[in-house]
Amino acid sequence: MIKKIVFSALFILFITGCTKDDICTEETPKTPFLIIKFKSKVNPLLPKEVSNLTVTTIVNDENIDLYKSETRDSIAIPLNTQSNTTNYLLIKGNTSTKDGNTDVVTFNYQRDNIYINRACAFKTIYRDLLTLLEVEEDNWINEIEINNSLIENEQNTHVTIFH
Amino acid sequence: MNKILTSLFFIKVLLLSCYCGFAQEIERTINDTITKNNKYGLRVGADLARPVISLFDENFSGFEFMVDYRLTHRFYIAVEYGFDQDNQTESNLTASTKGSYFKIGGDFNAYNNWVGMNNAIYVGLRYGFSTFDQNLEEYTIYTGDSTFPGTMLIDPSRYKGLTAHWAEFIFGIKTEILTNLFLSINLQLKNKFSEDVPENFNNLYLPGFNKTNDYSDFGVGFGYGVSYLIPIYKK
Repeated sequence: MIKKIVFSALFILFITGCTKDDICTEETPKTPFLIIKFKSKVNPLLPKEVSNLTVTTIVNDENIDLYKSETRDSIAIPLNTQSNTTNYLLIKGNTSTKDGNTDVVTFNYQRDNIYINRACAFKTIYRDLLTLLEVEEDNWINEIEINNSLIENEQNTHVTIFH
Repeated sequence: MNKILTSLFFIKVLLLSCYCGFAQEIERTINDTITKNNKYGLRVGADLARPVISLFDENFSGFEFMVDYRLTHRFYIAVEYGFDQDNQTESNLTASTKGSYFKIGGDFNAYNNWVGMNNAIYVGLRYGFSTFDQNLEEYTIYTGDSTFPGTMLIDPSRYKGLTAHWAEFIFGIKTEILTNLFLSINLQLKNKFSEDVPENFNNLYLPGFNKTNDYSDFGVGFGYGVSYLIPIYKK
């Protein structure tokens, strides 16, 4: 009897010695990306691809491309977790030969840091999302609509851009 | 029977007080036959593992007092009291826990000692209770993305006066190395059943329970104790 108890105790010690708390796994829900869908300005129900779309943000005076000359009707982009504002350059028709049409969109939001676990620490969720399109002579973006001002997961579209 | 023998013995001691040596001889003989030289008393001691770890691990300091009292031939009531300070330096966060704990329960000695020996191979159960402060110092945000540079955010949060409760199973060995002086080593398996969880954080360590686990309520520990038996009576 005693032997059995001791053996079980040692066995449990052995298996709990190395636990998955020590590693932050990929499956752990992390800080959500902002999900943007592109739709037609003529027929607001229809998804509409943006041809040769490049999505760029400037971090420490350096341009970082999240998408480079891709034709697509939705994007997922990160928001800065250290600031309440993130600027994105959405460039339509950007190819190796053409610069394309650049529209600047500013995302303003409030941040809440939510505890995940020991290994992954915290994630950020964003609320009170506001968008601002820099108006210029030839904006390719017609209108920006916020579908969900609370960004806590990536299951729903947060922003729809009509063009 | 015992009483009669004892009375007889004392009468003999009184009558034959001049034959001291002889009387002692008789005492030994009597006790041997009815195993009456088991010492009962209060055993007080301290855990050696915690101060030793405190010396080598700058992220930990702790101390534990242990007391047990022999109730019957095999059963002891046991109490431990201690305090821990533990810093958690994880790759994505740093935090610290500080507090004290109290454990009460019993030990069952499964070892059949030879006459005159007081060793133990024992199993025990404890109810553990801890009050502590959990402090979060800094952390990173898990984004899974490297677009924006991530840094450790210094954002201290203090969670004071938290409590935790757990049940504990102990397996250990005690050896009498010198008269009334015992060394013991034990393994502890703990299961917490209640705790105050800090809002938007977690208890990464519980004094007395040790490191917590995100995916289960189990905790483990060990002790290496030295204790001294204050004999009160023999039976």
